[in-house]
Amino acid sequence: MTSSTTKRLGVVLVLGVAPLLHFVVPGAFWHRTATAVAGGLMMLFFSKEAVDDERIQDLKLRAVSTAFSVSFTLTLIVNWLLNRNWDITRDFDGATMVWQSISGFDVIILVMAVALALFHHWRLQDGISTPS
Amino acid sequence: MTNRLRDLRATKGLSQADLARAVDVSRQTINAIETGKYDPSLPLAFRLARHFRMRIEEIFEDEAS
Repeated sequence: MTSSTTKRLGVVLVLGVAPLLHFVVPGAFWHRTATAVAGGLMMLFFSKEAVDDERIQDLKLRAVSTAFSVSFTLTLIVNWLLNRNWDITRDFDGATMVWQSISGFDVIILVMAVALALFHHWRLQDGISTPS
Repeated sequence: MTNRLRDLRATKGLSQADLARAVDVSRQTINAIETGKYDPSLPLAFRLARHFRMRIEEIFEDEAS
């Protein structure tokens, strides 16, 4: 499969299949939608670029490394709020309440969204050229 | 690391795109090297040196040295 085909498939998953699963197919539930979105975003990020040289590989590695740290922090914040029912004045009672967490697919969506944003931002910065 | 890539390219009258094609990378990569945002790998540094018929240390200089 060529890189552009993989990217197109990723776009179809995120913008076509995921909304279809969520809004059209009966019995919608978020984890099914999140699976399609996570898969699509991974295809977009990990497929080869048109010019896939060492700088692109370096930017992708930096982007995904940073994205993991950022997403882990965001996940901790979201889970902290989730377990207080979005009320920051409320305390979590470990004795009586069950700790909830966003799903692994949600975390993958976070990581890939942050990584894609960073990668394309940095690539754009690289492209801003002084006269040659 | 500092480099003389921009000067060498200008001397030869090459655009960033020309040099990028010659050493098989993107124009953005050449720009990133020239602006000091990116230090090239050793194989790319050798390709650049071969292109200008120079030694690597004549193009790239370690700031610590």
